[in-house]
Amino acid sequence: MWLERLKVFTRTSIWRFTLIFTLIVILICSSILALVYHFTVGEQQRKIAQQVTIVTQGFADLANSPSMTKNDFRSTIQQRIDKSGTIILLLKDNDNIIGNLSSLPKNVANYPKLQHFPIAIVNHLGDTTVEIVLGTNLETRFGRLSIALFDNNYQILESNFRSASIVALSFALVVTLISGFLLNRRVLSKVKEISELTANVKAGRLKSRLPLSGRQDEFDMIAEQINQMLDEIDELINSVAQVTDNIAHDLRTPLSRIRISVEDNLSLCDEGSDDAQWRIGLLVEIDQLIDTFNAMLELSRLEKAVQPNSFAAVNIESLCHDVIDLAMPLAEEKNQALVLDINIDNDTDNQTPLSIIKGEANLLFRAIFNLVDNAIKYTPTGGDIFLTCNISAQKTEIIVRDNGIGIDEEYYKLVFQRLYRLDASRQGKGFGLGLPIVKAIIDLHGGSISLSPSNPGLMVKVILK
Amino acid sequence: MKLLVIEDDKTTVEYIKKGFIEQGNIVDTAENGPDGLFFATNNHYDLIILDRMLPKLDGLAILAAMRAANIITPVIILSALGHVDERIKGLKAGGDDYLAKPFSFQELYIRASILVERNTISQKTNGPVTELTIDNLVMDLVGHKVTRGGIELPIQPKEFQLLRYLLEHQNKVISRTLLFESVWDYHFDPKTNVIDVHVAKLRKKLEENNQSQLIHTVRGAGYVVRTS
Repeated sequence: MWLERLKVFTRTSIWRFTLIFTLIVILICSSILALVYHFTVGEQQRKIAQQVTIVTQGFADLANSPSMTKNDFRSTIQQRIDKSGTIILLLKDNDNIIGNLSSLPKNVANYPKLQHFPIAIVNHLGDTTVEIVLGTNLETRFGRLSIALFDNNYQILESNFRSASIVALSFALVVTLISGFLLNRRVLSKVKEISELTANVKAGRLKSRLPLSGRQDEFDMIAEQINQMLDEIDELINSVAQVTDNIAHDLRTPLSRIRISVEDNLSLCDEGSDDAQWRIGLLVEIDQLIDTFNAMLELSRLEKAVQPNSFAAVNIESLCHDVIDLAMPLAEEKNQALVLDINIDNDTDNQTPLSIIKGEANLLFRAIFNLVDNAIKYTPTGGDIFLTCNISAQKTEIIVRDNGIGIDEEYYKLVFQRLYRLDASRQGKGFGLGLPIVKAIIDLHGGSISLSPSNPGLMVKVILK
Repeated sequence: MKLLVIEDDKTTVEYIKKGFIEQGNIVDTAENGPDGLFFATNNHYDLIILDRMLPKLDGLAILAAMRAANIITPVIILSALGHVDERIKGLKAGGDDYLAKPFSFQELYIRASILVERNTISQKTNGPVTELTIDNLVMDLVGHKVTRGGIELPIQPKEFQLLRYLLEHQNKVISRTLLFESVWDYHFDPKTNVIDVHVAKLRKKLEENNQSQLIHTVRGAGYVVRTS
């Protein structure tokens, strides 16, 4: 789970930006450190090297002066050793050695090259320590002279500098990564808000809007634009629905007037006369028209509706019993078995029975009855229809299953569309608004409805929360 | 009985008025809200038929004003708004019944007479009814038994309720919708022949053993229970 989230997180552009930004910060820090190194530790280094060079140059000049004798040179070396505690000198002439070093270090570069090399020092307690010195070898006519200066400070400085640099660089790394993470999270949460909104709108909740932080930043600007766009879409959809509503509504009044006048004169005609027959036929047609308009109006009301105030406690169990009571004779007429099966999960210690849900009893009854009625209609004589109701603390599941002719899977989505009818000729009864109304009722209750094959036949599953 | 019709659509007013006058009733009409309220408060009526949407003053506002003035006359609300929510709003505002337009006169008439009847019965109570009879059929409301010519009929609970409602309104045409609403207590038009099937089943049971027909179909209107 968190791995998945991490993957999403690291795929974002902000995260890439953070990484690049971190890299740049590290580069800048490193160059600053290099500069600092050059002017501090490097300076120190250069000073010592300069000293070594000056001393060496001094001895070279001394050795080159024609008045200098071997003994004088040696005594000068001895004097320098006695005077200074930091200089190390060693003169080797054949097997004759003088100086404060016991042996000539090997592989030391010749002047003017300088080199760091270790020497072992025994202090007055007899402990041996290794020190680093900077020195060089100088060939003179009195023998080979090694000159070196203690360079302890250099070593300590360099190691201090190194650890300080590591600390500073890791600190910079951590800070940039954390701030990148926080920034990323903020942006991601904003993006998440937007994607949640679009999901909401897609699910038909056109009234949802993005919250504004009031900071007037770029996110607010996007949010405002999206909200305005949604306002406009909402308005458009409403106006379309309003137009259809108005048409249906306006046509209903003249239709009812026509109906009234046809029915009104019916009582004056002889029963069974041609006139009466004609009027009755007309009444049937008008009633069908009116029913269609009513159903369309009803459907748009249901689709537009937010949960109405009339939602109350509904006992889904007794509602299912009522549906069976009403539908039973219809099934009996076709010799069909109509079976009710109610399973209630008793595993909970709820105060209210699980079969009580919040809803509108008339609408729910109508929806479930419609499904059962459809099943009876589309199942041949002698078939079986099952109404199953699974009630648990999490959800209420209502399943209507038959072994009738069923519906091809490609039509599963279409049958919920307004005025869609499976028989292309539109000859059959009904006006293709039954299932859309059922769906609208279930949607209004925050539930879902789905179709699946039942081999043979059809299974309609309604899930209410 | 004396009725008041508050409705702005002239065709509907004429239709209602003509129907009720043919049945021997007195009908007053008002074409807008304030007039309607004026009539309702200054005269006594047995029943008021009220349109939901009226010029000047909304139907529900009139109803609320009437109820506030302690006028308890039964009111049937007529409305082009057939939605459940509207129905509940109307009934909450103090309406006694709600009929969506367009409606047939028979439907309105039977609902009107049932309301008026209920109102007069509740004013002079005779104690609870324990038995309903017609012809040689006896319906025992306490023991939940139906006998015809001394033979007990195998009547199911819903059939019992159906029969009871029809017997309680003998000689009156009861529409399918009204039957459905009264027996099942759900409010919508099932739009199928389901009620006919129920009534046919009941009728078959009642007419077993060569008994006479009691439940009669009235074409385009509904059912009536009467001795033939």
